[in-house]
Amino acid sequence: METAGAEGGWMLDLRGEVCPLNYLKTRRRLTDLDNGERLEVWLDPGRPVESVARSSKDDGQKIVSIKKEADYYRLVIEKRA
Amino acid sequence: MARFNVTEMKSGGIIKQKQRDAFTVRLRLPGGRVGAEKLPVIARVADEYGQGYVHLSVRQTVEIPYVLYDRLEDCLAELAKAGLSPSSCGPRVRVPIACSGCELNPNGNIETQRMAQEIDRRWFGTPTPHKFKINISGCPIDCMAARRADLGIIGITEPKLDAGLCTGCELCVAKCGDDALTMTEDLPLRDVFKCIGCGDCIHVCPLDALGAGRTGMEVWAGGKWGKRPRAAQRVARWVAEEQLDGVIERTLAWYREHAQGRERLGAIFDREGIAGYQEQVFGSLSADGVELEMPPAGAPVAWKVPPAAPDGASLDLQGGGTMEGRGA
Repeated sequence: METAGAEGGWMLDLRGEVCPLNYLKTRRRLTDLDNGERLEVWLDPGRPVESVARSSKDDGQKIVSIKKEADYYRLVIEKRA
Repeated sequence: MARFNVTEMKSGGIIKQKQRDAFTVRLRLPGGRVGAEKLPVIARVADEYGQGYVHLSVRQTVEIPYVLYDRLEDCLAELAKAGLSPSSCGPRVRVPIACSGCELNPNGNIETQRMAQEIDRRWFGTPTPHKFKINISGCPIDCMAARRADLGIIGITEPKLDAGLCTGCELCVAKCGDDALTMTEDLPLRDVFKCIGCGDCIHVCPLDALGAGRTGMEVWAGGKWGKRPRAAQRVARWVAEEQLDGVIERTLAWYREHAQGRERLGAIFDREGIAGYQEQVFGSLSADGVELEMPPAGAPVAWKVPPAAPDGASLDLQGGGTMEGRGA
């Protein structure tokens, strides 16, 4: 599922997606964005949120925020690279 | 009759096989690291002097089986030309084993390979009451089984919180396998008694709110494998790399002093306990922040105890750095 985010950014719901497809989909989505644009990704707890956040950071993206919801995480990434 | 370099023979590394006149040559490869240029030499020697194969030993080295007695000297000379020499065996300090450590592994906290080379250079073949094995692991995952070594070294790291960067996502709390972190006033609070210093919380933090406050080593002692395996005991934490040589020197001195004949370090601990050993080896280091897991009787506990908060919980969060507390 993909929609325009509330703050003019983009949103990607990757709950239920397995590793490393969640990371690869996040990375592919980010390549379409311009530097400075933001992408909010919804991820399952545990390995999915850990690895997408860590790998995106390693790729040079900025992790803007990470928020815990009841049974998933909302990760906001700002495209930098 | 073959003539041998006496120093080499004294340290061992040439192992008598059950076959008459056949020996296995065990190489000295500290930390299991061997230059690529040496590999063709090992292969050729195994072909020409052995039976065309090598055996990879338990302790990270290469053994060349079936070298015949009257060819041993030539075999060793061939190896020596490439800078290869036999390992140590018998009642001596053995060649240390080590993982790749922080050089390659994201989990690594210490320079395990550098330590292995240095320990081997300094202590190779040093006589001891019984065999003495040193294992070095870069992190508490402990792939090198430091907790089963006569002297085990494990790299540890202490997380430090930058409260200004923390958004309270709790990834670190979920990641910690030791239940050492709890959310308190939207920030992670660390139980210093539960934290094993693995650094998982640091690695998982996507915002760099958690970083390495300090790194150092845990020292474990008295472990062994064999017929009667014995787990090592944790004897000190936060030993620095430059203190390691003194730790080994004093450990060997204590070992020689207290051994009753041919016995491993752990056997002495079983008889005498570890307090005396800790005092002699690490006592002088406590002023430098080295902590003893089980301090000598009567001495104050060396763990840092956080200040108690008014409501009974132990908190120190606003400083943004200490991140220490003790859970219920």
